[in-house]
Amino acid sequence: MKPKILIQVKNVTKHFDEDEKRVQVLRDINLDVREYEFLMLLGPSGSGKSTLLRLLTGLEEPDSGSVKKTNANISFVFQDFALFPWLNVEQNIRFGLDMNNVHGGLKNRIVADLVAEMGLQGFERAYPRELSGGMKQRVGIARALAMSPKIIFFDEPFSALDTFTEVKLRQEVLKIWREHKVTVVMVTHSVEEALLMADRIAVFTARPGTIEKIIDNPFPRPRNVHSKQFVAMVEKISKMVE
Amino acid sequence: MIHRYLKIYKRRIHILWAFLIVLLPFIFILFIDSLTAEAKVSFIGDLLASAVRLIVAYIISLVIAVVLGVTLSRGKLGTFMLPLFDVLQSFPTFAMLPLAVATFGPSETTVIIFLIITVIWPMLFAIISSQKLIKAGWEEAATVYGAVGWKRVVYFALPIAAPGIVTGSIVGLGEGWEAVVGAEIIVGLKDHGLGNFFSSNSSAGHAVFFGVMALLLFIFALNHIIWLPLLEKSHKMLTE
Repeated sequence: MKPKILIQVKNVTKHFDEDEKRVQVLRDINLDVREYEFLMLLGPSGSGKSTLLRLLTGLEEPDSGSVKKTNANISFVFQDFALFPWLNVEQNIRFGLDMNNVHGGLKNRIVADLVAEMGLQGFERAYPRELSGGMKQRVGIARALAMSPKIIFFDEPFSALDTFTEVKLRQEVLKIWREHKVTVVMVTHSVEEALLMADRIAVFTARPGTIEKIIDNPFPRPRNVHSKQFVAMVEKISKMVE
Repeated sequence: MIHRYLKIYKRRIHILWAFLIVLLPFIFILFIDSLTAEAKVSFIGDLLASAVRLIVAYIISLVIAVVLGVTLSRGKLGTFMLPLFDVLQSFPTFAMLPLAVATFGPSETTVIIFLIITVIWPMLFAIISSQKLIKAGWEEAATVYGAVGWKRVVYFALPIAAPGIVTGSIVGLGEGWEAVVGAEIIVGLKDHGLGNFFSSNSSAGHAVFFGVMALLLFIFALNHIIWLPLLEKSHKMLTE
């Protein structure tokens, strides 16, 4: 059976005005987001992958071309967490629910479940400034899950974290993807991360940002990052990105 | 709440100081009252009358400044209006007094309107500058999670404006106390008020001196009891 297409990007271009110069960030982008897949946007900095992520969510509009979306709940997990510093952990998690008038009892149940799932017990009343980077991103993920999203967008969610936390959170995000039956679109600049996590990898090249190739991940899960084939594949894709 | 507030005072000596700061103005004010009893002027009544005018003007300014600050800190209207405000705020407010008196007469309304145009500028500009602290990520998060309309104002714009509201209030009220005395004297308000106190006691040097001291202590106490704790709290609000 052919998977359902949730978002369809056709011939999209996008530019920004920087110091009176017109900088093209994306050129001729064509991409589908399929239901339940784990799609990775991989590329060097300046290749427009974060911009494409924002086009997929509707936070940005394309200059030309089209982004066709099915009507579905979406969530966003940010590179710099983007937690609201004036709200505590619990209030951050329930922010989306507050905005969408979810009633009290259900809201409290969702928040309590997510606090437990993300290992945030005991920190419900803590403010973001009191948390470590890893804990902050757990709150960011819990805030995203609270919306019962169909698609979760991750913008380099681990790049502000230490390696130890990064390795751990990757596994947790994979678990969430499996158990919550969500579609994930993630941006990364790490080839290893892309091959470890994704079903499909859209490889970007920079200036202007274009999709060089879309790779179907050949490795079955769970994946071993130390296996010979895996390391060889990482090297091959790394060359492509350069 | 009280318990949490007391936590600001970490040692017993702090509490002692706080009590002293609270009590001193009242002792002083009572002292002034006994000094000026012969002149048949009640300092407490004058102080309260001026304070009420200032509070009314402050509340009106607060509402206007928040509405303007939040809506004008972005968008095309803002880029047009802000330079205009910048010119307006540098206009010496006392120069407007004759016009205000001509329009509204030597009344309480005149004083309050004059106070509003004094207090509002520091508040407005502090709120606008606090809106500049908004991080792109916060805005995107608020948008993705559906913050629109009045909810975006209450849950998003107001908390970000809070530090600006507090610093703007401190500066604005500081200027306001100066302005209320000046305006009452210039307008020639015959009702109760600090302006009346100072102008009718201008020949009694000691009354004026103690009046000024009492007013200073009163403002100092207000700052310590209300504004400094709020300042501390509001600046933590935007720390990530």
